[in-house]
Amino acid sequence: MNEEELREGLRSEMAGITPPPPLSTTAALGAARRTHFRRRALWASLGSAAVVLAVTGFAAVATPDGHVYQPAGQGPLTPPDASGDTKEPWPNGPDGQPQEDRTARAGSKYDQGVHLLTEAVSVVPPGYTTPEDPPGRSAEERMLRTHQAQFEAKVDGVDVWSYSSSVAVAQGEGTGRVIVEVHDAGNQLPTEPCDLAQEFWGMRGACQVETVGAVRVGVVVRPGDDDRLDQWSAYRHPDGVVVFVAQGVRLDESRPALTKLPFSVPQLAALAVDERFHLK
Amino acid sequence: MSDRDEAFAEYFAARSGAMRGTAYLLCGDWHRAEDLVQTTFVKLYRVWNRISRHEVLDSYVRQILIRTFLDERRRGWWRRERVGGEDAEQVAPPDSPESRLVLLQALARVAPRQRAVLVLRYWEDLSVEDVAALLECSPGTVKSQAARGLDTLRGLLTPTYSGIEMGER
Repeated sequence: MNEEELREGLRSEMAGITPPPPLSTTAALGAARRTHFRRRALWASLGSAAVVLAVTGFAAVATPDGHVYQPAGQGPLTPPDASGDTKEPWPNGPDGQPQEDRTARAGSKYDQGVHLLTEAVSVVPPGYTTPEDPPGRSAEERMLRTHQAQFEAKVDGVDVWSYSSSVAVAQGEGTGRVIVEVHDAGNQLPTEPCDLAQEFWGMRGACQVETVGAVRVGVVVRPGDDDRLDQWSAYRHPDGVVVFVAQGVRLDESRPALTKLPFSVPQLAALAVDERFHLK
Repeated sequence: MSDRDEAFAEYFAARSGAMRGTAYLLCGDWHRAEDLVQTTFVKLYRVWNRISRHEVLDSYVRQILIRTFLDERRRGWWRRERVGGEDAEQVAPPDSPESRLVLLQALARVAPRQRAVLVLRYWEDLSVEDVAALLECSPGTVKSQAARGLDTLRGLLTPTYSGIEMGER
């Protein structure tokens, strides 16, 4: 048996098999949603009705920044409704009403996202420009600058958020991007530098540990087959805040790519440690 | 239904069947294949909003599927689930009614990582470089794993494929 015979044999035998009925899309979506929300809320492992009651029914919890949030809606371990969906415990926004979704539209969390974007723009090295979105940009066009604050999970009664910003960086004809993502203390991300780096966006790649001063930073210097970004660094501050800084030569398919990345690997590592991204 | 859920459901409806076929070749069992696909899509859903290039989804999902398969093998799922099912791992004799499935049954007896290489190379038709990237190993390792996997298959299938010329190594 050679390679071609194996190829033909697999096709022949698979063609002769009658597979089971197609998988249910509704069931798959329901399972994905339930698992997703339970995982993110980190409540699946609690398994205690008393804890669930305390968190979902009675607790008013304070976040590190002093805001007091009432639990929003039913917790994720309550029985699914007739559609099989579960409820996401969105925090309340600054107006006291539950957020529409995971993303903050206003308030201190939103402001943190704005701040992170400003800081991300400030670190782009000389020789690169950071174009802004033109007025009247169509909805189909890729945004050149974005920021977001999103609720990740409630951990030990405390809301854990993440903040991300994306900046288009241009040089000559090319446009790439720099992304900074920060996760609040209390996140459940790994502690080892390269384990942490491999968690970024679910991407993986060749990772090396860089030393910045007295600390160790994980840097993925070459992505695997998921090449949305080219390099990224990851650092967990002693207080638990995690910072990812990523760079890519390409913003999107509609523009030429940069001919070289804005930061060297040591620079990228140093940015992950940079206090400007250490949101508190 | 949110935009995210709608897009996810659309992608699942379009691609879960093909992914289940690949999963079946990996694990040799439709039920387990469905579990693998379900686990894969649950993982995909978690990162759906972070995926900006949905045109490369297939590659990404295939990577999740293979890693899930290999991870579960490492954790010992396979051994537990297969207790009492040894007969299913026997290669059917050439003259049995099931001889049509002999290749798939032999494939199920190839070591998991070699099997993953064979499925990716000869079912998914991925290049050596793509398989190496997906499995996070060198192209040379992919070639050697493929050669060993083919060698194992030849040994298992010799009565059936006797007379067939050995392929290049």
